[in-house]
Amino acid sequence: MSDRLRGDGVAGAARSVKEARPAKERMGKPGRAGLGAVRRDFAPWADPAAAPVIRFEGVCKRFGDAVAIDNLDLSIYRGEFFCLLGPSGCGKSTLMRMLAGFEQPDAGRILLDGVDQAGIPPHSRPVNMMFQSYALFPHMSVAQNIAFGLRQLGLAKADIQTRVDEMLAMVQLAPLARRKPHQLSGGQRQRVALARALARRPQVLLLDEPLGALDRKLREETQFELMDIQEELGATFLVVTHDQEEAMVMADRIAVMNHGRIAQLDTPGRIYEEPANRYVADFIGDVNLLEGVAVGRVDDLWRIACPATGGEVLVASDAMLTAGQQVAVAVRPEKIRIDRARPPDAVNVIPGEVWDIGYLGDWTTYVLKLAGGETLKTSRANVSRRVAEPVTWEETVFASFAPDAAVILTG
Amino acid sequence: MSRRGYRAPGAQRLVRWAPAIWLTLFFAAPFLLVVRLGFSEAATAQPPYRPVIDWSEGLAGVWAALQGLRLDNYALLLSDPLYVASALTSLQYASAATVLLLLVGFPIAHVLARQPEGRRELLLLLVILPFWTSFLIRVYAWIGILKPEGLLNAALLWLGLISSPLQIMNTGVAVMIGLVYSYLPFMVLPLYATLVKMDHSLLEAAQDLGATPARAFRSVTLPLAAPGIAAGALLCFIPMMGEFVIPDLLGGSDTLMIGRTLWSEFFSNRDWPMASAIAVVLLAVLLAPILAWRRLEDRAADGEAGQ
Repeated sequence: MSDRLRGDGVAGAARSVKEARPAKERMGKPGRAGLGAVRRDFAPWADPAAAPVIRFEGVCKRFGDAVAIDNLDLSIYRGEFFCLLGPSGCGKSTLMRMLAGFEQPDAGRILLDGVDQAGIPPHSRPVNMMFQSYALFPHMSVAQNIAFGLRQLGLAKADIQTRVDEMLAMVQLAPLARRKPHQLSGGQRQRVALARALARRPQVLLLDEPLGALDRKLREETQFELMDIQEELGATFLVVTHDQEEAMVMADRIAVMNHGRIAQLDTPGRIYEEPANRYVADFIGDVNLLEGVAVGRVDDLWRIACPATGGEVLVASDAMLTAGQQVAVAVRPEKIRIDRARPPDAVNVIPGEVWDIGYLGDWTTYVLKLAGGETLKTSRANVSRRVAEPVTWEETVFASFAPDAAVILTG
Repeated sequence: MSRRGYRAPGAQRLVRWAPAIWLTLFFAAPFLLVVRLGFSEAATAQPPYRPVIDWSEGLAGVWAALQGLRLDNYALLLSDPLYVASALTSLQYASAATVLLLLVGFPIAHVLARQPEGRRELLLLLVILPFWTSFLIRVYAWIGILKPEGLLNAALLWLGLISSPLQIMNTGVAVMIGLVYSYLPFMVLPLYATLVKMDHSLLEAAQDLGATPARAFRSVTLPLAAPGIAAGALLCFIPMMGEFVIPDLLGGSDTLMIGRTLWSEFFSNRDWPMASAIAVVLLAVLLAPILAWRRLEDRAADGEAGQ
């Protein structure tokens, strides 16, 4: 009991320190024990006193017969890096465009800082958007593009110049200030778009697939840059993306969307390690979904009869199940180990034949064919350069996973 | 690979030279004839002018012709107020009609460009549809509409807006109506072509950055439509400067536009050299806006390169 109290005290102290110190220092601080590797100790959504900066309340939107947003509630907090993640057509872009004022909700309210945005035109909203196509004005130079939003504010010329220089320095484009957009590379255009959207110092920055047009290497670098800029400015970033890696790396929280609804709203770690349903488990990363029936409970373990494995598996879970309930056991490939001999102390052991091997350099993926014909995907980090006797095709191996490596899904 | 040894096949070479051959045969050669005519003198003869060069005397004749090069026609052009006045009238009509065409054409092109794709093509067809009928017949039709007992006056009388028929026929108003009506497609099409290419997200970006819709139009749509505005304006302005049919049919005898003056020099006065001089000066004057347009286009092409 006293330990828990002390723990809370430390967490509280950490939060107040975070407020006082420059944002940069927060990064890399050990967070509270939790699922996944935590980026930073920041969780205003867990604080009942915190007021969200963005609120969607029962928002609905249809386009003709198609439902784009289905009675959606969502709160996003100040300083949060929030990702809307989902396949194309899941409604994530519509949600963002409604916030910017380009679409009107059919029902429900959208509040920004507690102010209902109904009837407020796009040009009067305290948000700015970075467009997927960047939408840079082709007839204006880089500096003029960045100054555009400031000119609308009616600032003095000198002030505009100062702010433009500041922005150019932030995105490291000062030498290119006089270039036209078509004279820039894709990565440079992306930076101009970011600088232009941030020039007005919006409370909330909306980013529509901000890294979608960049190649892989540049995308990775830019992810971290975006995170640094967001921390430095302390602004709220709302990112729409279909790229789960992007969302996992950058976001404080992710809303996984499906058909106009939020399938799960949580931190990247929890989304990955504790998916709420089959859709999320399948959408994020690789997963083996073993369909089965709940049999009974042994201590804190559930016994699940899985026909695919030819028996029962034990899963550590506090899920409220009834015997006979249809469930799925979700196990990530990297949490399954394979051995040539049956591991004596393992709980869940599934024999199978190696069917496919995918060598990715850092990882090797093995697809096992189980007795019933189903496949099981496992992966292994290649921690050494040489392997004495590598596992090869058509070998019979034993896959095993710990009870707490799997998750029971009911949805 | 070196291009030196490469010889295009005959057909390909023909295609490459075809525009040059066409322009030489049907533009440069006739124009040179006109230029030569401009230095000649009217005569009661067949053809009704004196030859500039007396070929029967060989080189001496050419030398004599060069020495006695007659600039009388050009001198008369400047000194006789008739020509200057009709040129100025033409300039007035063409400029005013161009402005009107822009004001009418821009909203049409703008609405067209924002339509869904299927409907866009249908509406575009409607813009071009008048071309299916002869230009002359369409201008004649306006007589039926504009004359004192015509459709327009009948409609206005029936609505009670006027008590006696308006005299529109044979006035400048009728000429303006005719010009704007006839040249509207030439204004709408180039404007449409630039507006339809414009990325709509640019306007959204402008509004997102705090510009009102009016501001966004002024600082994004208008500058990006500039090449279309220039193309449409020139495409209308240049032929309207030399327009003959519309002022002749709708303007009555009072409307002295340069095209009509030219026509009456040719056919009423049978002064071919004078008419030729007018044509040469008109072309020289109109070259200026065309060159300006070319420069603008080059700049636009530069701006698009690499995008």
